[in-house]
Amino acid sequence: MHIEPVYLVPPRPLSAWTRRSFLLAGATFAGGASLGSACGFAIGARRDALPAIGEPEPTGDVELDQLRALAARGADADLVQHRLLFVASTFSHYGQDPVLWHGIARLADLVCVDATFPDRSVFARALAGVIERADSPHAAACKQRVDALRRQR
Amino acid sequence: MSPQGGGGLRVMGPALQGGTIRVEVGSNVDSVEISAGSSAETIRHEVAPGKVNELPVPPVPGGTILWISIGKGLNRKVVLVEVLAP
Repeated sequence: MHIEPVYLVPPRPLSAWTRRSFLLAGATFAGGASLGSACGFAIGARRDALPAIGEPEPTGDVELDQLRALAARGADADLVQHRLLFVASTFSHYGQDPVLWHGIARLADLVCVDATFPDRSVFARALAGVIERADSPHAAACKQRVDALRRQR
Repeated sequence: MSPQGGGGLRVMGPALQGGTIRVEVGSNVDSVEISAGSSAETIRHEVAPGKVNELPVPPVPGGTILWISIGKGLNRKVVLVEVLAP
């Protein structure tokens, strides 16, 4: 004896729904990405862009000159690689140097935009703490970045 | 400059508020600096070279990131440690 299935509601063809779902998901993703980019740009644009600085003048202090060179014209990758030494040297010995604070602001921007930044959350909060404690007038541009640093996870 | 995370300095375990922090240093290291992120809040501790040293956590709020360092100038080694509320 052969039993045929009886459908109270006839099944709909799957292919149409699958295609529609795919299109819907794609459109949702595209919309979300556009909105996210716009919001991210709006948040980022609130910070003043860093002005370019020229070649730093020699100071006669070899350590300071190397740190200033890194801050002014060092590659992003080099600045990130030496971030702990750079920041620690700035706040402990050279807290009034404007070029080094330019480097701190560069690091703040890098950690905010680069999801692959090493130890991102801890470093961002550590950098925020350093900037908040700074009593240098040259740290003003960095203080605009503290809120963004505190948001990094 | 040497890369981050070189030898000679290792922090073991958490830094609890009001507690101590265990810091292992290399055989040629006789002092460690612990800072909350400013020169005014930096404390230098004499340590036993080549051993694990227990150093007091500075009186800072939970969530503060400490800058723990050894050495001088461009040969300084730095490690970040978060202070945890008990």
